[in-house]
Amino acid sequence: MLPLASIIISVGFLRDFSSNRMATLAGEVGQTRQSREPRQTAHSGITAKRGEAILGLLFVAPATIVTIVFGLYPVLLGFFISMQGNKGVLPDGFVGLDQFVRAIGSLAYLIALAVALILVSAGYALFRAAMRRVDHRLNDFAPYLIPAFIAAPFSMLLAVVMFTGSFEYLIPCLIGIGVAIFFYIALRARHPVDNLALSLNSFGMALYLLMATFLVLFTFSEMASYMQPALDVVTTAMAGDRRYGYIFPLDDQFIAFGGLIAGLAAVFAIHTTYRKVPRDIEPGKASFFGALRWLVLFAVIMLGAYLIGAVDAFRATLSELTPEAIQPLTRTRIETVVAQANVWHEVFTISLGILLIVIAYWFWVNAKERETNIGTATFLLASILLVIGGWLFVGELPRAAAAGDEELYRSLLRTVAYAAVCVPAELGLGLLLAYLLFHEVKWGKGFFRTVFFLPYVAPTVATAAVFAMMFTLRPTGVANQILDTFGIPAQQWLRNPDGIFQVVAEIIGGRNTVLPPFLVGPPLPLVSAMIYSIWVFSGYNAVIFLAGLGSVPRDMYEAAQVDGAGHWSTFRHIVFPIISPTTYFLTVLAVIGTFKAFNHIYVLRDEGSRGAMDTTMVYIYETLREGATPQAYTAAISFLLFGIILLMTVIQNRISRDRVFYG
Amino acid sequence: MAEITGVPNVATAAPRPRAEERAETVERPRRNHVFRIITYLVLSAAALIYIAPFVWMLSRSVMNQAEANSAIFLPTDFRLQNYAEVWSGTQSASSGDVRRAFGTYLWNTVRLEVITVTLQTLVSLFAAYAFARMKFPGRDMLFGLFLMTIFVPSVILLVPNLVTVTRLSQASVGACESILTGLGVQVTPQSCSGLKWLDNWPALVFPFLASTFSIFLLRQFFKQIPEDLWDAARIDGAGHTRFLFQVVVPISRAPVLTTVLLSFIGVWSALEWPILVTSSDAWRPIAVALQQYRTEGGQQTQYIMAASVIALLPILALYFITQKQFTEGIATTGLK
Repeated sequence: MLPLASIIISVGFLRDFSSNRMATLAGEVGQTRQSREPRQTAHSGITAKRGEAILGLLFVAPATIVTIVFGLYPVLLGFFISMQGNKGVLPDGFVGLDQFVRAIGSLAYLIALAVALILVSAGYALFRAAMRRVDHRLNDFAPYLIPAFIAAPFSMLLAVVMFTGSFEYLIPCLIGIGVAIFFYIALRARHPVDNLALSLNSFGMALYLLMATFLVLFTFSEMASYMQPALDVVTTAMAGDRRYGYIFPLDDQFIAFGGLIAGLAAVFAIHTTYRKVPRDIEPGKASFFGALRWLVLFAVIMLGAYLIGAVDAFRATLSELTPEAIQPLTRTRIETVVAQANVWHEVFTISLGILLIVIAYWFWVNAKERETNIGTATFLLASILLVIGGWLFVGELPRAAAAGDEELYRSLLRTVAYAAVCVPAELGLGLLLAYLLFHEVKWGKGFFRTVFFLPYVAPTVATAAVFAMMFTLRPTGVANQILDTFGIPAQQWLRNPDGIFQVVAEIIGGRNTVLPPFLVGPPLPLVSAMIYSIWVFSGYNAVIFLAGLGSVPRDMYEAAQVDGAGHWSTFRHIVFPIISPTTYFLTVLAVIGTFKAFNHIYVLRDEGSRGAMDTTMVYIYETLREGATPQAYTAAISFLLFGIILLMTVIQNRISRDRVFYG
Repeated sequence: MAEITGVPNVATAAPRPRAEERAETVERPRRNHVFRIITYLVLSAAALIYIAPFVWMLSRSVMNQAEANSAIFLPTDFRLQNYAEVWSGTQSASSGDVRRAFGTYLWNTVRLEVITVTLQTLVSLFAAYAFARMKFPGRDMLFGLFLMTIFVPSVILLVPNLVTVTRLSQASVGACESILTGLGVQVTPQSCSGLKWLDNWPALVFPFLASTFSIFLLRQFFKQIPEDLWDAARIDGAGHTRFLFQVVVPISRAPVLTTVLLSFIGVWSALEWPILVTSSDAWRPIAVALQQYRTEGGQQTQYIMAASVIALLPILALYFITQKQFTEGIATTGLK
């Protein structure tokens, strides 16, 4: 998750940086400008420039120190803390992914593998960027890989030294980095132009690739050590049974998995070559590559089928495990053995499922390009079948996650419910109010705007305290009085952990009505928090939408009127597309805001509600504040929340790319 | 620097026509009057919903306890002394209820505001100016480093920053004590307690000194200031520091005010970090005190409401005084 952010930034930053990088650093701009100035000021100019550089560094020093100490270093430190075990509450010694496994079960390994994949693709992106630069400037890229690949592992080691305090590795680290810098300087003497960007580029690439490799190796070794006792037991228990003899120790699954990935790489390579062959000039070559492509694809599908079989056989083996078979072999509880043995199987199945869905997507996209109807139909059919297959495998996900922290999942569910109600309600109400205000109101617009903005401006703690008093348990509270005017009995707003629909059902159908668990809806305290949130943010959204509506050109309305468009169609086809950037901005803000919502929920929170209002943010905070949960665990779950927020932002960015209309 | 008056004011240069003013000219023929009346009704109802909690809060804050917990809307027994009691911590508490002196907490918050806002503004001004108008090695790289922090949500900073602040607290007290011992002074637990970070102002102030957003906003503005101004100032013999405070800051009053407001509101309503690092009343800000009072206050509706009014009024006053800055600065940035 952290690497993802750093990738996003480093890619953008390198692009930004390359434009005036050399100029700034070598002082070329200053020198060229200086050459045009009168000669006598040349000397004083250099002194002034040095003075300015020192003064500039002094100016940014306080901000830089604070930002690094309290803004960037903590991210690394937090990540490192999240990888530690605990003696009591305090972090204590490196344990790897254990805290994450505690939080989300074997899903943690899957996420680690996904992060490794993201790192590899980031490394590939940097490689592409470097190659493009090489194409343009005729500069050699390859030599810079040497210092980069020397510097990268030693800087990783340096980071470890800094956080673990094992300073005996410090000297080798510094020597390694020194060697890399020496190489760099030597290369710089040979290629005087543009070497900083290239070496930074290759350094980033080396760092990403090495990090990915380490992550994959670490995940697999951790998983293997985690599994080993279970595997031993299973192998011994099954030794007499020839049917399952071939499954252990998972060699077949590994071979099939590796073969699948190699096959996919081959398909990709052949496909790329095939597209580069000019078909009208070399028809023989083109059809050869085309045939090869299909052949390898077929092999890949066969390998996939084989892997499915192997995984399924493994699952069958696990189901054969009985307490009687295991009891004589180990004192570990049967549930623990099965849970440990399941880790492999789950990770395999789910990644296979995801792979199938990716292939299905590729088929789906390709279906459009087919020339014959039969071809299109075949591709679509294959795609649908693959999605179904993939979905069946991804269906393992709940089981993989089940070993995690149940309260964390519940809090995530609450957060999603909170966001799912609040975001549309806030945006919809805001847009409605803004539209009415913009088009129908002649006087009092300023007054309405001020009033709508008021809840947002007021300090959250104060207004939330007011709402807490309004949602009081007493039947004389405002919320209960409002219910009373409709003849509804008073509710324990902030304390009753039942779902809202369950409460409604009890009111309609009497005390003993019980709804099935998936129908009970968000708990009543969370509904109170939603009401507060809508009260605050709908007005804010209205004010922002009002500004957005002002950007719709007047003549557009006139044109629409001339064309005979009504109220609704004007809004739907003209106003809505034009204000889509505002909508996008507010949606992103609202989604992130609801996932990070803390202050008002914390103020409204009632100890008696048994955590019915605890969204993930509040849950994280409570584990930290109450002082019984290990800090390492808190750090781990806060990184998980960060990952979710980042993922939502990326998804929204993707979705909006085609739908947001800029000018 | 008299010549500056002749320079076009960058701060207010070319204001875009306000959205509403332009909209006023949109003439819609055959406008249905019934529809307009319904619109006004809907909007007034909405406005009522937005205002009602504030009115409710005000009316509850001057009731006696029996009234405050009943269903009536307007007070019959008008008790302004609720405010005085909440202020000085002399609430007439029934058994099990607590007393808190909100005057102290307000004073704490004001002290924190003065320290944080002043320091943060100064730090941001210097950094933004250097990033915008000075040349020094590694400038763009540093700025990239600053921008990275925008992606970092506060939730993952809680644990590590708590660890850092605890360590710094121990380190500074330890250093002070060893110096005192070295000087031959008798060391008591109190002798160095002023230097601790936890439950003291440094823990509440230092993590927030560098606001990336303020630096970014100011830098964008400083970049637009014409180069001629700097040339003129340099001819007059002014250095960068004088130029910054005598020329740049006066002409960028609007963005500087916006950053000041943002930082003011940020300090005022901060909750998660101050709860973690304050354990006594010495520096507990009003937001934290109000949250705790509301959790433990139980039946004392009227006092909780009076305390809420005290916590609310300064910000609302600021809102009505600087309404334009407030709406434009905060609305468009999505920050609070």
